[in-house]
Amino acid sequence: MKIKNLKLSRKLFLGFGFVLIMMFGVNIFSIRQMNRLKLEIDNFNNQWLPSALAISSLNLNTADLRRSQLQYAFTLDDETKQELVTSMISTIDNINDNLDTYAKLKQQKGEIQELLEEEKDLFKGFETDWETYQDLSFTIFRLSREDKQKEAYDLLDGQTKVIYSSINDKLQKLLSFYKNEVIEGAKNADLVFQATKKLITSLVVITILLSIIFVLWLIRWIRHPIRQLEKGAKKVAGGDLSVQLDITSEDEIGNLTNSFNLMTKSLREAMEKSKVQADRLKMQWEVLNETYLELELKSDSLEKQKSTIEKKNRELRKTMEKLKSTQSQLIESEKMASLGQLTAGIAHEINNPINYISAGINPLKRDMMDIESLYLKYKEASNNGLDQNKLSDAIKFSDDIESDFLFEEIKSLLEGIEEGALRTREIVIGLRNFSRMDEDAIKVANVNEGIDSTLMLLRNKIKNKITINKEYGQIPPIDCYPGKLNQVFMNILNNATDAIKDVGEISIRTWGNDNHIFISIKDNGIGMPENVRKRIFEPFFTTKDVGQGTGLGLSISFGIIEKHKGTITVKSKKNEGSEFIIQLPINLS
Amino acid sequence: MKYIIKTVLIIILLCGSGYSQVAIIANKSVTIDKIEKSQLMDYYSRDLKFWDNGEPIILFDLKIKNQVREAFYKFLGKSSSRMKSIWMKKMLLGEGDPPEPLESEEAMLKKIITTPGSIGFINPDMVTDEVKPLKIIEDEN
Repeated sequence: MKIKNLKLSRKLFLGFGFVLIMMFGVNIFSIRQMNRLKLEIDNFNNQWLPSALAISSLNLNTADLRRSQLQYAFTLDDETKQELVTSMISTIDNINDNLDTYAKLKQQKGEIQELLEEEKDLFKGFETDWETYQDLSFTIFRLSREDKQKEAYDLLDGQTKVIYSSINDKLQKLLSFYKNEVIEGAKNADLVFQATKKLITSLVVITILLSIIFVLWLIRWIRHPIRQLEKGAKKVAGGDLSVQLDITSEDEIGNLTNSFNLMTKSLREAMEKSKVQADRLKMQWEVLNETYLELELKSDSLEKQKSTIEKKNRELRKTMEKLKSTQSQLIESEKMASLGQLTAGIAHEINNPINYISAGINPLKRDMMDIESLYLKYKEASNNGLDQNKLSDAIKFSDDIESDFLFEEIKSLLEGIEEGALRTREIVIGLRNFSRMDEDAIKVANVNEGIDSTLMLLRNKIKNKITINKEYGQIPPIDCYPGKLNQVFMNILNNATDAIKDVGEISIRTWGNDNHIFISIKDNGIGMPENVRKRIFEPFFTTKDVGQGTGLGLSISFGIIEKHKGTITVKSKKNEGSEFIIQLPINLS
Repeated sequence: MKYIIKTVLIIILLCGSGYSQVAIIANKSVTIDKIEKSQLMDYYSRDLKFWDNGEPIILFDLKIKNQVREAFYKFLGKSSSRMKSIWMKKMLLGEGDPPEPLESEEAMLKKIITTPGSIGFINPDMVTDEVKPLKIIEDEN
């Protein structure tokens, strides 16, 4: 990440942080150097100087001891001897003090600085010599105590002298060592001081320079884009919207510059857009103006046209009314046509049972005549008392006419007539049911029964040719115009029978749910192509020959189902048959 | 962790009650059986010259500068040369001679066996039944 792209606050923070860190660094460095100097001075004060003092004192005291010992050896006077012993005791006390002081110093030293090897070696050498010197002194004291002055003096002048000079030598060396250390320490301290002075001075100078450079750099980064923005803003204020500024950084000023550019851009676009819109408006205004003038011209001719249209309207209304009456006439004629068709069927239908009856009438008449003759013969035979001849004649006649068989025949003939009468009655009832089509009031009726009565009327067309498969569901009676519904069933069933050319079957299925009932009438006749199926509910559309159908049957049926708030749909496939499905609400209201 | 604690404890014990390189021994006639550092210093600096029973305290030193001797003076807390300065003062004051320096530890052992009221130091390995080893105890303060 470039510093250039940092936020302004971060840049400032970074700058001041940098200056602060530099200052802090200089301070830390100064304190460290000062500590080093202090260490040198501490060493000087606490180590080298007191050590040197202790060793120098030790040197003097050992010399004192040596001198006293020598004097002691040469003195014969007891008093002087005693004085010398006292002096020696105090000297030894002093030596012991010196040694203790020195030991303490050296213990401290461990904390400040490692004991120097040279110093250590020198002092160790001194200690060894000092021990030997003391051992020799013990012997010398013991010898002089035993009044062996000669031996004592020899020892003092010989071996002891050598050891003493060694002691003196070592102490001198230690002293010069301390002197060197002190001089070196002072020199060192001075060097450190000088170096520190230079370093701190140069560090301060560098820090100041870097800070100045940084601040200048910061000013450049901040001031330059702000000036640029200022200039740009002035230009925009002067109406120049084409100003686009260079984005030199990604900080707040960079964002500001970017926003400025976006602003001028959108301003420019808005201006252009409004100009275009103004042009468009102007054009539209002109068009409108022209149109208005044209309209004004046209309104006069419109006035004329209006009266013409009103006239035409009146004519249209007249035609409509005419059409309406024609339509009702047509519906009536369709009714009549289907009735006519029906009548032929019914006549044929009734003919059969009537044939039963009429065919039975003549044999019955004949049989009745035979029975009458037989009756007369028996009456004659029993009229004037029982005439045996006539009775046997009558019995013979009875045998001739096979009277037993005769009764059987009469019985069977009566049964035939009865059946014919019953069938006729059924047909009449069916016709009556069917003919409820003229009733205009809503009634509660069972659709299954309606279908049955319709089938009854069609029996003549159906029999021998078509098998009827009924699958009636448990459906409740519904609110309907029963006669009109029967007309619908009649239409569909009639068409179904027409669709079946040789033999076939018609399946009638009814079922229902909570609110509706459904009727499906399906035949396996010739079916319809799609273009026919689409048009079957159109008025005057028919596939039958002229004079065969009005083309209004299904159209009227469609109207009736609509009146019942139901639907009628048809599925059909050529050569496979058609299925009409009617859905009717249970409650019409 | 346990091992570290154990090791540290052992080191502390060795440093504190340590000085196992040297055994302080006394003649069987000596009545004490344990000794403090300051007590030993009192004897060796000749500030105390008699046992509690009035018997004089007889001290020995080693001539040879071996590890045992070094350990002994380290335990006392003063160097041998520094101890000798004390003895020198006492000698000049007429308060007694320095301890007799002996040639070896064997000689020290023999001397202590034969000298009643004597006290000295040898290598702990050399301690026998004929002398009384004095148990070193820490100073109370």
